[in-house]
Amino acid sequence: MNWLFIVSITLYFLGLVSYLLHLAFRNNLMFILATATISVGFLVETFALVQISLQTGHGPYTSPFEYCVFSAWTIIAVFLVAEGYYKIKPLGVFMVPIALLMMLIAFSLPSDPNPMLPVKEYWLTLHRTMSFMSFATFAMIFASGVMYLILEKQLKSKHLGGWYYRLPSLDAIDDINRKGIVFGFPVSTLAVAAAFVWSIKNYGVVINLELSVAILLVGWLVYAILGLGRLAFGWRGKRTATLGIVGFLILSTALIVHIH
Amino acid sequence: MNLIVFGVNHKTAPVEVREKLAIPEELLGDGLRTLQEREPEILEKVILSTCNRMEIYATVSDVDGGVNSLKNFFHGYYEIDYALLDSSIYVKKVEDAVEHLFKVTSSLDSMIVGEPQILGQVKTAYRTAQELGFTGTTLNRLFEQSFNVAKRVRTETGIGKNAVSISFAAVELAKKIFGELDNKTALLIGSGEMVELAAKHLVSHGVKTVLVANRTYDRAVKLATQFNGEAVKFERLHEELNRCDIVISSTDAPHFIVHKDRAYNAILERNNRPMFFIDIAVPRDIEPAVNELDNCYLYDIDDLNTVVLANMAERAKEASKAEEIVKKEVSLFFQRLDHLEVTSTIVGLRKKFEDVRKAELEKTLEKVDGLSEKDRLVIEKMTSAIINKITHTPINNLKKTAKTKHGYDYFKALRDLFDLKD
Repeated sequence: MNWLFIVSITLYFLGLVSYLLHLAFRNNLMFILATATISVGFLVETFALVQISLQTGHGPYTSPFEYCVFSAWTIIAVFLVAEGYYKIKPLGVFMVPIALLMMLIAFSLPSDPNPMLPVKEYWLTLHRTMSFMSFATFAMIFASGVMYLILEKQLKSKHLGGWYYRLPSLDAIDDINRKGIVFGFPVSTLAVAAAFVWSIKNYGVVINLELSVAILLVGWLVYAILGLGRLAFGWRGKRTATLGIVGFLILSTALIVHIH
Repeated sequence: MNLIVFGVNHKTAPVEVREKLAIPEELLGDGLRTLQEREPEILEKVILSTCNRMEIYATVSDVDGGVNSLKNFFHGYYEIDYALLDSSIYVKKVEDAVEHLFKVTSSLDSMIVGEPQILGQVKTAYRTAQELGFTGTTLNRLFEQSFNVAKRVRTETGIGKNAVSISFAAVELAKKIFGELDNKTALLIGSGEMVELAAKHLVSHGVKTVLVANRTYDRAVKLATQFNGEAVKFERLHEELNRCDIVISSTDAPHFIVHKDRAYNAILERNNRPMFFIDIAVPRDIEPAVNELDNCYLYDIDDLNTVVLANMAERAKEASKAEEIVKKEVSLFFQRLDHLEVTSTIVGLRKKFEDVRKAELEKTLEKVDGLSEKDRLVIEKMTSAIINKITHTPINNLKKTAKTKHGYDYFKALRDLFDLKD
């Protein structure tokens, strides 16, 4: 395994520790340090991914090891953009652990590239790119969902704790869910469609229904309901936050089933 | 530096004592002048008088003498007996005095920690004394730095952040739900001081439209005019509910005015946009079950009180951070002051020697005839060299001792021996 991955996971971990310290002591320096550490970790991982892509001659998404490190990378990318855009300081505490977990799962897998599928096929590449982008966006929706439920619970129960003072407004958190689904749902739909096209072209069937694929489709359906509910029925708040959490848990299950 | 603070505050003296000692702002000058006339031993002075404290910040040549002078002044100016003074007065000297002022200005010594008025009050007290010429280098530096400390504490800690009044707590909760309050609509049901106060805060934080409903329509119209809003007929209240983001209710009705099903309908009509109900009435106006609805938040008077208590605890946590900042700033203040004293003493000493040299040289050269310009220059140089050689060692030693604890004694001795003024 490329040692740069070990450097980047260490930096992600240190970044997470700094975010936690910032949360505990509300020290702004810690926050700046955290974001800086994560950014450096991100650059190191970018470098590592470029390196293995050059070695194998294809993008880092063929073996389960590659899926995991690459999705950690996209999650951190989306996180850095979201943090800069929303200026929500506790976001790191919820999103960085997801990326860290992906890295840890990757480390438990053999790291040699093992292309089981054709690597330079247009529809498959489209499917993969869109999948990673939407997965990272859904990770952000998941994180916002957890934040929403925590704050909503404190506001409803009137037991205002530390989170009340640290989290932004419910409206701001709900906005992550809204913007996330507006972007993530079409992208994930494109990913699903590209997979269908590829499947028809190669196997002559629309779908090759393995367990992980079935679970993935259920996950996609949850996001479809979430998006439709928001647009057509004005859903928002707790319901959409919960759907965002459920959807991501289903996708994660599919991923784990697929790896094993 | 002999700095003292002499005074009382809400912790040491009950209001009966404080009200006797208070000096209204327009009489501050008079108080300072009287103090100057009666107790000339007090060199620099600032009088700070607010409803929670009455303090004199002063520099004196002798600390104990200064304390006695201030006590005499209090006794004479206010006709207050010594026993009562002794039981409520505190005296803080040098470091403690600096720390005390920094805490006062940063609102750490206030009755409500973090309240913002005190900074303005200290500024007024200082400017008044400064304009009348009652402050000098020490108090000027001290007060100017205390304003910086207060600013630092405010930006680096959250002691002023969370509301400690019911009406402000309501505004903060609203912001936690809606984010910005711009373009939000508030409905006031009933009337009363609390409703008006909360409404005032909401409007100043961006709430655009205010609707007012009252059983007596005229009253609703009156209150609505105050906020540039619209009066709503009480019977039509439920039809208007869906327009409202924030509902504040305070009527003396013996039963609920807003029921769960009405709130539910309103939420549906609003496409699930959240609603925040504030029920200040006792008995309550809004059915408690409203809080169970998704996107509905209901706070009654007890809930708001709980929030205020939680906010106070949060401020207390931040206050300990602020105390750390104050401690650092106190030692910084003394470092800067020491540095200043070193420089001014050395400059003073050099000037003294230089004056003597110039005066003596002039006298001598007048008496001697036939010196060429070159000769004069040589003599001039020689005298300068003598002065430099003589002062070199003591000045070096002075710089070294400045950092030790005996530093101050050296400066004092040097200033006294050579009659150096500030």
